[in-house]
Amino acid sequence: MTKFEISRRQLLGMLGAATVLPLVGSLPVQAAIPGTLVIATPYSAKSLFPAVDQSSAGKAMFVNIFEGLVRFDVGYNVIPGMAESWERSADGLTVTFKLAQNIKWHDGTPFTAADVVWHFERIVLGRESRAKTIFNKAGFVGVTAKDDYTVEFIATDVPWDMSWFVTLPYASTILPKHLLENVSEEDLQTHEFNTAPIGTGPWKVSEFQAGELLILDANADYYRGAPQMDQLILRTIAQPQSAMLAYEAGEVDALHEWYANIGLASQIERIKALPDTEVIEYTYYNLVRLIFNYREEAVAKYPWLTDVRVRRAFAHAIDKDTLIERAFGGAPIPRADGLFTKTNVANYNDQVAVYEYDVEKSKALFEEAGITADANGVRLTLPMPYTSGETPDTLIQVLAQMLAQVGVIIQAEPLESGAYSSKYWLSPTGWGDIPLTVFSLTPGAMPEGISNIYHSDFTPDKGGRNASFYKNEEVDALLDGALVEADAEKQIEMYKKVQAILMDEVVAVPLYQSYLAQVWNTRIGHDEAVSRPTHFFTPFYQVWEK
Amino acid sequence: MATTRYLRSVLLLLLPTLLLVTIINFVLVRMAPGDPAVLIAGPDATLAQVEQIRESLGLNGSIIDQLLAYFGKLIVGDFGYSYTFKQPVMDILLPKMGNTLLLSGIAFIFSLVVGVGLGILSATRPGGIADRIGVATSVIIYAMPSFLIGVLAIMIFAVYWRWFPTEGMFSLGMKWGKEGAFGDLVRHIVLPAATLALPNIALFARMTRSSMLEVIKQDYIVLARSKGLNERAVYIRHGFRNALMSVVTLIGLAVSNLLMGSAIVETVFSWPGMGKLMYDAVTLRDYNILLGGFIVFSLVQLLSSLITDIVYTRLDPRVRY
Amino acid sequence: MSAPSSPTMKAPRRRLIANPIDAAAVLVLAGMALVAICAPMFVADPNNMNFGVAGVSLQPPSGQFWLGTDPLGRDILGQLIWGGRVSLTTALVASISSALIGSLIGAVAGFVGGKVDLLLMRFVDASLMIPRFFLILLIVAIFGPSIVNVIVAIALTTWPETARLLRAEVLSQKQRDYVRSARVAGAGPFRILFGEIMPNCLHPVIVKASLLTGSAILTEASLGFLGLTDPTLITWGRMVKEALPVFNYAPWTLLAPGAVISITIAAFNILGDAINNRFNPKGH
Repeated sequence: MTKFEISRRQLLGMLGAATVLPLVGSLPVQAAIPGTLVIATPYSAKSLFPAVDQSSAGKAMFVNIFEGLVRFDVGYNVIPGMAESWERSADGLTVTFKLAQNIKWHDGTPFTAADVVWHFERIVLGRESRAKTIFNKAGFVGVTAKDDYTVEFIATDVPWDMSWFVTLPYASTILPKHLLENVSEEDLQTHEFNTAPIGTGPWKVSEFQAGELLILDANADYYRGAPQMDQLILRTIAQPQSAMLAYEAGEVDALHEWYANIGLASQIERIKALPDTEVIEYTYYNLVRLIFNYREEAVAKYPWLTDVRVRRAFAHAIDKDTLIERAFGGAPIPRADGLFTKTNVANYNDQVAVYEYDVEKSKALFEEAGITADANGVRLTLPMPYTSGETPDTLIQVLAQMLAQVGVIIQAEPLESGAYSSKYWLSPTGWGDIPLTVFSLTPGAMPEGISNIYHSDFTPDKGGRNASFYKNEEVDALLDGALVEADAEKQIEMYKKVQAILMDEVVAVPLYQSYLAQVWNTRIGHDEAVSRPTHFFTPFYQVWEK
Repeated sequence: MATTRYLRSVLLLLLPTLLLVTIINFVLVRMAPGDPAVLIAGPDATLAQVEQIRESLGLNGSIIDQLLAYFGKLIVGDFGYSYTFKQPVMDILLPKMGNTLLLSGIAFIFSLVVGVGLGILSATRPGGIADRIGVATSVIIYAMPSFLIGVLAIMIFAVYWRWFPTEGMFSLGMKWGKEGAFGDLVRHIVLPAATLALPNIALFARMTRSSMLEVIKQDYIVLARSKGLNERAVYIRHGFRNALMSVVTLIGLAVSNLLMGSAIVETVFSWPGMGKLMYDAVTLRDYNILLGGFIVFSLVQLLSSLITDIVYTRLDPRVRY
Repeated sequence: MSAPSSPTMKAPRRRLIANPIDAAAVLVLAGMALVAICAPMFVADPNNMNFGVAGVSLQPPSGQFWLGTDPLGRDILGQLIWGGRVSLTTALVASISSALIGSLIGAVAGFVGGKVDLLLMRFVDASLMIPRFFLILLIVAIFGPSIVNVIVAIALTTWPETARLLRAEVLSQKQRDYVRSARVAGAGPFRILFGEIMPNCLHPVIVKASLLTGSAILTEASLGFLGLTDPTLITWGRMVKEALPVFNYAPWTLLAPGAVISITIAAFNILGDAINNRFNPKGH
């Protein structure tokens, strides 16, 4: 035997060891870090600077670092933030905020009214955004600092809606004047605030690895009291399976915003059965719809877009329950039957027209409208773009199969979210001449967000989100009226009427609302706000170790 | 002088490669559907940013001017700005490069040692059971995609047996310099390095085996035998040397496998290296990172080719520049 | 494959299928080709999600679905068959295009020689330094994940290897007698290159094409794994991607395409080796 050969005995020995090892036990798993809350999030933020980055990922992170004048409670009511109180004039056109006097920026400088004035003038109104559009519509005159801790906003046309100070872009993340006032617009892009911002929020940035990790230290001087935990770590884990494994191994304490995907259903039961685990499920206030395009170019190419029978035919062709069940592997995704979200309970109209799954009826409607099938049974062949990141491919695949059953062949064009946005959603020409698309829209917690989608004044070329260029004068009038209607009951009636009209005409086919789950290790206590779908508005502040 | 001649051949390869890479980058961005400025600006850019980029790309100048300007920037290492990470591309590339070099380096050494070792083992008992099984498995393993190997490795070793963590380079909160960092790193690097190394192990093992078997039939072995020298010693010395030389010719291919493998393996194991960065850049449509990374990888390939040449010259005294 | 008993070599058996492994590879590939071509006979619609059937998603292999079903309720075997059509065609077209381009450039360089050769070879050498996979990644990222783009990307990144090969072959053939006599007979350069020389250079190209096909399958699978292929087209790579969220508890969804991909690549590699051994028994 030379030194190169392994004897049979040695080989057997090695094999034996290999089988015994797993029985001996695995290497110790990582224990949770005391005093630290580790959260796995699917969001991959590249920048922490609200002035530069308004992506969902960015917002999910910097909501812990910055604050606004006011905020939401769990019922979407506006409650004090950095402003202890406010006064709204009788006509609603002036609102005066009284700021708390003990607020400091993370670098120790006191927070004053000067910051607010500078922020709104320079940041909120200094760039094209929905904030600017709304402020202009309201007839914004100016914002002034009455004294160090009093700020006044004045408008002329539309009374101030307090929720604007929470939901409008840039409004709820006030930035420090003393650090940014001399920075040019261009230099903002590369400013160090992208990686190490200074805010007034409950958490300070300790370390930021763009796209991977955000380590935050508790702000001991936070005006509402320092957080009860020392550190907050937001760790980006893109794959749900990896996030789950990390949770089971004890590497993370909570899974934040865990989006439904095809693998979720069977996993969620298993996770609920894990020891020391709390699972919170809720519906997100977005709506995924199959939307038709009403632009001139599209209608010229596909005249049937204006025929309500054809749109109804599409609605009848889709078996929503099977669609959801197949595309999401049985996860409890709520199907949507109207074009408002159920989160706006008061405004929600559950009496709108519903189009049940009926293949024969669908085909009959197509025939009636003159869209006949050829020898292969094909009636229409349509291009359909969609955002490949947000809308699951599985949904499109099942949808395509269902439409194929009534003779509509879909040529799906997946586009990455940014490309989709710049080509269709945010482009001044909206959806161009594409006949239909599948898109998720978040009208927002507030019903006024609906105007942004269905009011003909809010087309993309004017900064709005009505990319299908839908125009219905009755709807326009109702939405305009509801915005200024003081009587709550009448307002509700108006919104309900809008919903009824939208569904009657099948402006779009609503499909489902997103389902989210949060998973918490029970060693961590948290208040309700932290686990509500107001993730863009609620920091991880009220958290503690039990 | 051998050195100057060698240096000249290095330059002859370096310059055309750099030029080619520059042209590819340049052409691809401008041939893309849509506006190149919008492309570079990325998904979240504002109109103002897009205009800015259009200015800096100098899309109004002549093609030659633009090309020269771009080349000039590349030479000094200015790979532009990443609009999704909001930092210069170089600042993002460099730390990730270190992580990839670590992983690929370990994988390479591992594959060399294990591959050549297995090849020698196989060659000492040619035709035996172990040899036949070895050859068969090496063919299958070489044909298995890295993602399959990686995914299976995670399933078996990280999930089922919990020997190793499922992903990442360090555990949460751990980093260089902290106590226990080295052990943590070792635990995390085993699976991805093994996955990355497997195809090359198969490659090296087969090559070692066949070149050592070749040596048996060479005349000088017969001569040595007839001289009464220790057969084993001669066999090992000459066979090994021959095998090494053949293996060296494979280094280019091995590096190429490592580069491609790194993109996949790093993604599977969430290893924060350049391969994963490239993949993220594709999903984010961050073209400056893609282009910068592409240049870096080209240089790596170039470097490996040059090193292969040097090693080859050292090993085989007959080859001279 | 045992060591010879004496130092003198026996004449090598010059058969293509020298051992059972080679035979297996050829059979596997032939079988796959047959099934891929006749796919419509076996499977009516690979996209059929069996809507009416309850609980049809993610079923393990059974009598009804030989390889189980995928998350959307589609038959995995059916998808493998139709996906095979696309994956195999893509790989073949890509590798043949690559071989053609490479052969042309390499042959011209070797035949014409001089400045043309120098220039072309500089170009080839520089091209060999380009990391193939990342260029493909770049092309797919910029131009989109369509099948055509993938084919073009693969062809554009792999032709240099064939070019080098062909050039060497042409150079060695150039000095042979039959070339000299063709010239004396008055044949023009085109006829000499394409009529006389090239036919003798085919075997390394065929070997290369076989290996390239295997590698193209791997590339397509890797792109699919990374999610960079057309989601509306069923390919083996796409099947892997769709298996990822569920393979923990439905391993057949990943193992089926994974195994088929591995076997196909191995088969092409073995085939390439076999052809190589047939023509170059002691290895070049």
